[in-house]
Amino acid sequence: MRKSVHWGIITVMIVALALAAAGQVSAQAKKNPYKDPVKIAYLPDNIGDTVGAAWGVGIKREFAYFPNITYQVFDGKLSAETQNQIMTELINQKYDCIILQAHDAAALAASAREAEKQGIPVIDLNLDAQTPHTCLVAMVDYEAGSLVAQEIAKGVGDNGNVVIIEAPPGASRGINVEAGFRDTLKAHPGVKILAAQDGEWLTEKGNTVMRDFLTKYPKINAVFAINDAMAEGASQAAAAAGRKMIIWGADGEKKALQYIEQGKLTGTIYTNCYDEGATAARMALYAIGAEINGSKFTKTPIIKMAPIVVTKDTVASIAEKDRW
Amino acid sequence: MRQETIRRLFSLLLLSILIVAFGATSKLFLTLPNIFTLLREASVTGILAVGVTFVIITAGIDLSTGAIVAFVAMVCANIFYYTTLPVWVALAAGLLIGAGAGYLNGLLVTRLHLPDFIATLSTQGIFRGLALIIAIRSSTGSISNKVITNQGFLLLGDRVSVVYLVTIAFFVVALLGQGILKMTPLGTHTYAIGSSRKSADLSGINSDRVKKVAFTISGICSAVGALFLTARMQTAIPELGTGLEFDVIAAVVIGGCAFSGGRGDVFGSVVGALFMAILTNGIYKYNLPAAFHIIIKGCVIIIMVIFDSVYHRRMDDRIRKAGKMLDQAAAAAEAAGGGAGGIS
Amino acid sequence: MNVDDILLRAVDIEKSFSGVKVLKKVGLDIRRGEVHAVMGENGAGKSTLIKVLTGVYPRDEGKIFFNGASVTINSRQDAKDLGIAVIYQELSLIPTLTVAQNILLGQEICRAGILDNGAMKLAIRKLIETYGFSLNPDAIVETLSIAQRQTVEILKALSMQSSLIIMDEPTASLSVKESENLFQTIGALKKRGVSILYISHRLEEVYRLADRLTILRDGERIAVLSQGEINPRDVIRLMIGKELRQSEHAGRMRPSRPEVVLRVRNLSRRGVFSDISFDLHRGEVLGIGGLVGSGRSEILHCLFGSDRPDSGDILFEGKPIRGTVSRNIRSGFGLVPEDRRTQGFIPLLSMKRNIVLTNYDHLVGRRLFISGKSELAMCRDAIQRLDIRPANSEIHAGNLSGGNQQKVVVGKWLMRDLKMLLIDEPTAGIDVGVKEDIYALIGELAEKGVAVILVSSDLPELLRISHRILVMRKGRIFREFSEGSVSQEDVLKAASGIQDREIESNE
Repeated sequence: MRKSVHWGIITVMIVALALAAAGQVSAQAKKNPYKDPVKIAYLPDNIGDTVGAAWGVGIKREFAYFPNITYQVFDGKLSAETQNQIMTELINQKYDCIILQAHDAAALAASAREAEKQGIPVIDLNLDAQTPHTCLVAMVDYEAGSLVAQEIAKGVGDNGNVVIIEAPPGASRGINVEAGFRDTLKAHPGVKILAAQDGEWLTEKGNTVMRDFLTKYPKINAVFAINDAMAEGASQAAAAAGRKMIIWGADGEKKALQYIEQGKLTGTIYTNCYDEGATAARMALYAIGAEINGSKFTKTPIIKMAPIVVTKDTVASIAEKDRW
Repeated sequence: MRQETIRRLFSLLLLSILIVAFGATSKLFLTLPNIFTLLREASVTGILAVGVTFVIITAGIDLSTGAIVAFVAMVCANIFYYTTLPVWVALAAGLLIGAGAGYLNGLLVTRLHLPDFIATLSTQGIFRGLALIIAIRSSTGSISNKVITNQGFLLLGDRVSVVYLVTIAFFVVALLGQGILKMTPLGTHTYAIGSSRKSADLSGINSDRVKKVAFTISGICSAVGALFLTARMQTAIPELGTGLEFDVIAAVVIGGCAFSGGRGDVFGSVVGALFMAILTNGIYKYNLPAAFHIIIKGCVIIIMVIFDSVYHRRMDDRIRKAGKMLDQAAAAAEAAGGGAGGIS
Repeated sequence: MNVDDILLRAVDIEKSFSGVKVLKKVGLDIRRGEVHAVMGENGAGKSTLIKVLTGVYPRDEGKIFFNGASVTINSRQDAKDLGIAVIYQELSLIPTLTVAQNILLGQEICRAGILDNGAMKLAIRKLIETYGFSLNPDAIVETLSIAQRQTVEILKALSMQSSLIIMDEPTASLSVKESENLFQTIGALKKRGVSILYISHRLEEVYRLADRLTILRDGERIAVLSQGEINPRDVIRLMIGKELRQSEHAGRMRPSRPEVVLRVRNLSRRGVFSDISFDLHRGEVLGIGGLVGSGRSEILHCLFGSDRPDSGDILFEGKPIRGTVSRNIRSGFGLVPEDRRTQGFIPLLSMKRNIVLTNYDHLVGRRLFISGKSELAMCRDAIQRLDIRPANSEIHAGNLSGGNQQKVVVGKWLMRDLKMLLIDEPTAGIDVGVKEDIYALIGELAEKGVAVILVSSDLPELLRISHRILVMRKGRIFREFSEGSVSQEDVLKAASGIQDREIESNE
């Protein structure tokens, strides 16, 4: 019958593929990352994101000095499944190191563990995989939230109403920044948190959420948006409504710094993302060459990028070449 | 040749072209680990596609599959985090919830007469929302997904020598699906109501029941996919399976199911799922921009749909021409007989 | 006659729709193993009678006996259970399934829940062989010809042990050869004791097949003829009614020979119509008569550009037209299609939008935007000229009565510089008052020099407003009436394929 023929074709195809392929797994000898040909992959959560792009530039600049390095960027498309697929792919292709911004700490744990088991060091950026691995390079998050809380409390004179524009549920960086903010505000009982809503990391969504807040609450003294993009949206919404208030973001992207210069934004916590990317790149080279094995670690070592509080007074201190 | 046969050969041809093209240009492609990797990547989409095949053959659509995956995964994650119940409880709960979710879709479509598109678009939101609600949270109320450590459950994400369990499950589900479709009255009725609902009703088929069964099968398949996906990721996240429904529908359409219903089968959807996985896998090999992937996918779907409409036009033409030939002969006879074709 | 011979007897069946009696004490006797034909003009009540017998409509009065016992038929299922099957005009098969799957749909043979393909094929083969059909049980229905599909439909009825098969215009879409096969099938069924209720407009078929013929007119049974009594002249007389032979009901043809507007030469579309040639003059109303399915509407669509002919020429004002609908509309064509609701207007748009829809080119001029005022003005104009009721430009066209809907369809063409109007069954399902309005309108247009082609199955209408009549038969022009007095009988005879001299010889 025809149907069985079709099934037959498929089976034959699979078997043929299997036979054509030659099995091969060789022992991994330590390479010299500055001389031997090495392949390094960068897998951000979303290639279109400003922070992710800035890291990418930082990594690329660092590797540009070494012609033996093949550097490839992959797009996680904001999906844990896609990231897992690509991780499997990178392991199959025997990359020498993976620089990863995990979409979700738990969801990428299995893949990161598998990579480390195969001798491929995993360097995480900001968003950590929930398994011991070679290294995490991170902006401070809890501390950043805490710093903003102190600044806002100071700004409103320990007395006023605050709204939060949150990160999407499940994003660990957002969770940590917000936790730092909330915990620190507990020491300032005069500052009241009116509401918190998800702005999906996006300017437009931040704008929508802010307009909603503005119609609901006649008195808002300060806004904290978990990233700059949402803070920019909030600033536009407040300006359109003709209301003045303190608005803080976090990250310190180029546009946010401009907004601060123009007085549209009160402040942000700046991290040099070029530098952060470069740091991850250096860690990658270190890990490839070093006699370490991330799968044997019981805890992931962390490198923290120092936070810089930026306001209108201090924004000039961020040099043009460090703006991303 | 039948349309189905031509379509079948056509999609197999496309598949072979992809394999040959990638195989010839990338020495990484035709390696054992890679082949089993891409079979693994095809499997979850494929398992879901088996269920959606049923729905699309009834001339319906199921947009809720990705959300059912998230909901089922979340339920399992909850069971493992909060209880020490045995693995089979989690598996059974997952499958039951999948079946229930699918049945709910069926009810909305048959009882409330909602169009499939609207019904499943709504339930997509509902199931995704339920997944968010039951997501495991930290003391401050923010979502904190937990790694599942139940070793029995994690076996589902593992492999037997080189073949991943999920791939085996995929082929079992596909065989079962094809069997139901081709070897049971239910299968015949599925084709019947998709091809011509009114005619099916006139033949005494309970169309509503068939429709409900099709959605339930789709729900169960989503649950099976969810279990394997969860085991592989070793966690459940509320956004799991976002957009997966479109990959699934694409696989089904590439495999030969017509949106107008009544055509296609599970085998085609298997080919469709393999096609998509190979495409993704090959594109990773060259690390082409992600855009390529979607563009090629889109083009292939368009080609398939054009193929269908061209085929139909030619078919109509042929039947019309056949009628004409007979009529010409008749007219000639009538002319010869001096209009004696009628009375006397 | 033995009472046992009667399979189905209907007595004094009555049925009204919103107060109008469609069936008046109609009786019907069908004997076992006979082919019983039913004939009647459009609106005589044939299809209502069938629908009552098959449970689609409940009857108001009367009794139905089947196999001697009084029965109630309230649903299709009831009819099916009794063994009454209908071969529908639009076939009720599943195109993507095989012949065998279709025949046994809903009554599949299973073993342990799995289809028993062997047993099913065997059963179908046996069935096919019993009646001597040539059909492959594994063939996919959509690859079959219409005639073959009909055979499948008949087999399906037989597989359900039907003892009465109702065929409603079964040859409407069949070629001559295919019809011939169907007649043989009917012969085979008859031999096996199956009764057939045969509805047809085609006299020659009835003449050939029927054992008996019931004639309906205006919802009444006029006569029951047995085979020897069936002859074309009497049948037509009985169908039309005697009084209509008088000359006041005949149409006077008014040949006019001013300039030719449209010249059609050897127009053919495969399997639909062939070798159509005629001239149409300015200010002329050309009627096209003939049976449904004889290719009349399809010609209109080809002229309008919504279908493409396979060969032949269409010259409009001396120039060949390369048919796209929009180009034809611009050069002055208008079409009032048969299926008003799906082709004539857009139910969910307001009356205003419907009227304006084809006329934006007139409204826009050089500007990009259209003023609501000019739209409204155009709509007011149409309402006034056509007396559309209610005179509310914002009402959804779908909510108007049938007659007023038709006025909207006609209205949108009146608003432009119309040169040729193609109008298909303009008064089907429209009440008398509005009918008159539409006739007056067509006359008015013709007087102004618009050339009109009218397709109609309503004989009095055709005779009354046409200046000239072409009668189509099986895709060809069978006769032209261009002068003198023409009666309904003349047209009907032509549509049934009877030449004048045969009638004379019969007389």
